[in-house]
Amino acid sequence: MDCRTAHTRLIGAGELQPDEYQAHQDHLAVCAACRDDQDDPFSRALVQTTRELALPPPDFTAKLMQRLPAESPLTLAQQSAQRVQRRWQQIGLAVAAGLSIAVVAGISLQHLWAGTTLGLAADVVLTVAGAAIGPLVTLLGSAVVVTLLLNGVMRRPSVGRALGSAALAALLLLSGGMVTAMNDAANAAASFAQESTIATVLQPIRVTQAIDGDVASLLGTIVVDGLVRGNVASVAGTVTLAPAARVGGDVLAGIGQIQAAPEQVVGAIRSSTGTLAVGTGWFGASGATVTPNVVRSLSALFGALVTLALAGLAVLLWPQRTLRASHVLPRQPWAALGIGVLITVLLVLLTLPVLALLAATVVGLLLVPLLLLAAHLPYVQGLAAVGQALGYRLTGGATVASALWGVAAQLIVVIGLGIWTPFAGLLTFYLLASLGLGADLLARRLLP
Amino acid sequence: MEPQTDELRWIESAVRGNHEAFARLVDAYKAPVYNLAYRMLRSAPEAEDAAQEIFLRAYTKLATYDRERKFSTWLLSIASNYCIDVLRRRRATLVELDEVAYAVPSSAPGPESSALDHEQREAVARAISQLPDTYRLITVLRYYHDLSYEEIEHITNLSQSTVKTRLFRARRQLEELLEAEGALPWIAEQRTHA
Ligand SMILES: [Zn+2]
Repeated sequence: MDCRTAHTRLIGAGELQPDEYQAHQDHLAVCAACRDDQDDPFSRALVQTTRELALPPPDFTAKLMQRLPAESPLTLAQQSAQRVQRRWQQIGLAVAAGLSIAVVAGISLQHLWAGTTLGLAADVVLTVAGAAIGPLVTLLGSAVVVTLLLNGVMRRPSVGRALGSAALAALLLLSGGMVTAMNDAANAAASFAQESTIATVLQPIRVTQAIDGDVASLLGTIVVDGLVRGNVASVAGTVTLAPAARVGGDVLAGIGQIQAAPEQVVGAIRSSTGTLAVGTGWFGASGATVTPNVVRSLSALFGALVTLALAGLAVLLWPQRTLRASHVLPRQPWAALGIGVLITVLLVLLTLPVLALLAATVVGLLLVPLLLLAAHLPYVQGLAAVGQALGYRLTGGATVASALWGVAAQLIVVIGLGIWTPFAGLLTFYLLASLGLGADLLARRLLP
Repeated sequence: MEPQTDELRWIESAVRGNHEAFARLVDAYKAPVYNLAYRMLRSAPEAEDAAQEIFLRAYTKLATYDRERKFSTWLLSIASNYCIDVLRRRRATLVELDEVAYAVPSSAPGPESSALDHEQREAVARAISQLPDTYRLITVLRYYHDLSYEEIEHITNLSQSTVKTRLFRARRQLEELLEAEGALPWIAEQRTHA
């Protein structure tokens, strides 16, 4: 029995045979809507007065058939995919043309004004630009990938949306670049400082002389190539002691690796784990020379990859919820992203102090990986939803299999970008995760 | 042959560009689609335009239809999205909603035959047309279209608990609206029958 029959039963239409009575009871047992109608006396009046559908005029179908495109839906779908592709090609061409014009203009300007004041200025600008080309290419490349991903989950990629998400990606990457620049500055300062204690957040430290006090960093790597009379402690960062280094106190690393020989350290060497280096080198630490780049990137991305693997599991376990959240993405992409990023910021602000507290004791250090895992759980369902939306773009279907393809695509992009630049990989991961988290919350109407 | 497999066959040939097969789908579903548009937009000409657009959209998107979903659910979700969009655009152009609401019901095109029930149906339809958009959508899907919470959930992308609470609130609002119109006496009568 369906709700239509149950509704006619509710208003007492038709004779009720015993087996029909049973069928009605069976339907009520499984259908909450019909139970609610049964319980609400007003529903009866509503059902009775809503039995007839308003009908379209008789020529409706004939009129429609005249307006129907001659192409088949299959052809139309291919054409629209081609249109999207062409638009991206146009954007690519425009960017390439713009860059070439800028380069040619710059070079000709230099030649024209050689020896003049203007020429000198142009020389300076070009020199600076030349030095900036490496980071700039990295930045642009990452921005393009992030843009493509964000647009992949939107309903209709448009030039405006592409520019919007490119601006967003560039902004975030620039802020990452600023952190790196600050790192370098802090490094330089630390190298020459004779302070009693050095402590940084998000900034790696390189000690090249004698420090009287402690050296501590939250989310930054520490390289000691001198003497530290106090303790050396890093949370979510590696600690590396160069062969000539000496530490008078303890060496401690929460969720980070320690490279040190026991005879170099007067106190104890304590590390929560040497393998689960989730936070290592998140922000492009300049202690990078210590560990091979690819290995470091991959270990930095370990947490992201675990979360993505869990997202694949979520697709299989909760396909309906995944599907629902993925439907929100094309409709409210900016709202989802905004909510998700906000929650991510809050999560970071909440987690960092707890991490610092935990890292103070050895037992606490063991709990750090668990806390990090717990902090990432909210993203699992969100990444599944983004996977579903991407899978729809990739395969054209909204099935569990297509969602798994979408999750796999995210994995590939995050690993690929991560090997290139750890920061870009992680940024992309957290952007996608935040986007999905926002969509999941919106879909569940947990937010107004 | 079962109607379900018939429908799948029509969809298969329509995807390949067979207009006749698509016409069969239109004939099978034009009543629910038009009714939804009519109840949402509250004007017969607008409802017809909307229903035409909805079927055109369905044709364009037919290649992306997921066979694991119910076709009616897929179609009605396109329809409700389209109607909500139209209402949003209408609000943006500042058309007086009340004006539209009161201009409609007397010329309802449905085959409303029985003279005795006619007034009651009109009163309820008028009250439903005064509900907020999202409440109206759910009410129409549940009462005119006899859909379950689960089906409404798939059409509107709302959670089941949201559908449930909104429907409950919609019934209470309808009661108030009908009471204000003085149409409640016969409903009280209904209750004593129940
Ligand atoms: Zn039911």
